[in-house]
Amino acid sequence: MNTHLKLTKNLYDHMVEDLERPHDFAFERVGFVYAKMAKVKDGSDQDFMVFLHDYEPVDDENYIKDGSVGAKINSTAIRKSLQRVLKNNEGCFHVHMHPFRSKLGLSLTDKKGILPLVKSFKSAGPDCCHGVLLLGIDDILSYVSLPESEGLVAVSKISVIGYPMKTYER
Amino acid sequence: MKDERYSRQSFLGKNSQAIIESAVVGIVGLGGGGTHIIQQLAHIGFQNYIIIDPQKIDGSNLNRMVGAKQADVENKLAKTEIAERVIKDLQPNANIKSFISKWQDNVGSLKKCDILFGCVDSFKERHELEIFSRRFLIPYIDIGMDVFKVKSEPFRMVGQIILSMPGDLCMHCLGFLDSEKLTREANKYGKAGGRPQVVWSNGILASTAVGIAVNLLTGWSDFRKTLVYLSYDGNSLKLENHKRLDYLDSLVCSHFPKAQVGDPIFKSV
Repeated sequence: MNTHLKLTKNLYDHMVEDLERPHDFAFERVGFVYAKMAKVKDGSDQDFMVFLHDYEPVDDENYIKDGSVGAKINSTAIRKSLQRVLKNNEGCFHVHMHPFRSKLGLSLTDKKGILPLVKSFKSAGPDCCHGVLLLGIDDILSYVSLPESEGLVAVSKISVIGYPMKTYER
Repeated sequence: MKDERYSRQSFLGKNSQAIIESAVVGIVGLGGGGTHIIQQLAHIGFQNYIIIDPQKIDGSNLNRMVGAKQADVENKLAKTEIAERVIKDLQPNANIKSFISKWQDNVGSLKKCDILFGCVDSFKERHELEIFSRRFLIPYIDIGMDVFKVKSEPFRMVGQIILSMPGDLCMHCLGFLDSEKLTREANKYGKAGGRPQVVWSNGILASTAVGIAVNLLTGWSDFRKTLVYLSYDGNSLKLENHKRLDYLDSLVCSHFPKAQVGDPIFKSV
């Protein structure tokens, strides 16, 4: 089973532009990007496709001052994203940047924080896919939790649709 | 051998051949335009194809179907079989998924395309292919030609190449498709008959479409536009930007809302 995540270059540029903005005290910014899904039955294979379509930044006032982590957000920000998942029946991915020129990986903080967040998204939208998206300078990484499954799996292919088309495979 | 084979296209970029070989291309419609495209894709080195056409070859296809032979008509081959042969003669290890059906009956594989070429005969098919492509975020490249006569004037040959890129303007925004054309076409159902088609104009349209696809995948050239609408005049032998592009500044596509992606969701009311 493979998972392929796609987004337009317009959306990608929009997220990067927002996430690169400095914050008064947080070392990094975070946001939420919303997703729809498709199942792909191709012969005997069952693959999944994830389509990111809309990004919402976390408002400045919803960051919590905490020097031990890159960014910490409050329950208002999380509740807002859960409300949207519930209302629109769509998936949600937590997104932030690691602005490095290398193969990306989740930090310890990311790994600790992502699973509880995704579990919350799943309770609001059990039929959708939820996860995390990490943007680097020349790489993109994503983990997704599919409906009817626990835990996160690495997305095997990520495509940014624009000129030129960029594909990141794992 | 492989390095030598593609040495003349090394200008496409350092990793261009790997990009080309891993891309999945879909071609819907395997007549004069589709087979031209397939032959070129195979020459360039594409390895992963999804090809769809419901028809078998007939004698009237021989004036333009690239790779078709007289014997194919006698043996009543499916157009997909001919297209497969064209690919395999150049790329014996190519992965080809072929469907002798309407494309709407086999969308599973098509969803996986990185680029989709539409070489179909009707506005309705184009309209539906574009809807599909937008839903699954697939750049869609459409080609087509027609020959018509207005009163006592000479025949006019026209054609188009359109890139419909998710996130950018669509064929409705460009005025190429509209509800009036679709309705008029629907009202002529069964009366359309065979459209005039010739190999040389198909070649121009197909070659340009392939060039757009390779540029999109490799980024080799400085042509960075994701909106392409080229108009072909077969009488004056011109291929140029359609005049409509001059009037589209600041237009945003309203025909395909951003959230309308992925499998449709059905809600109980």
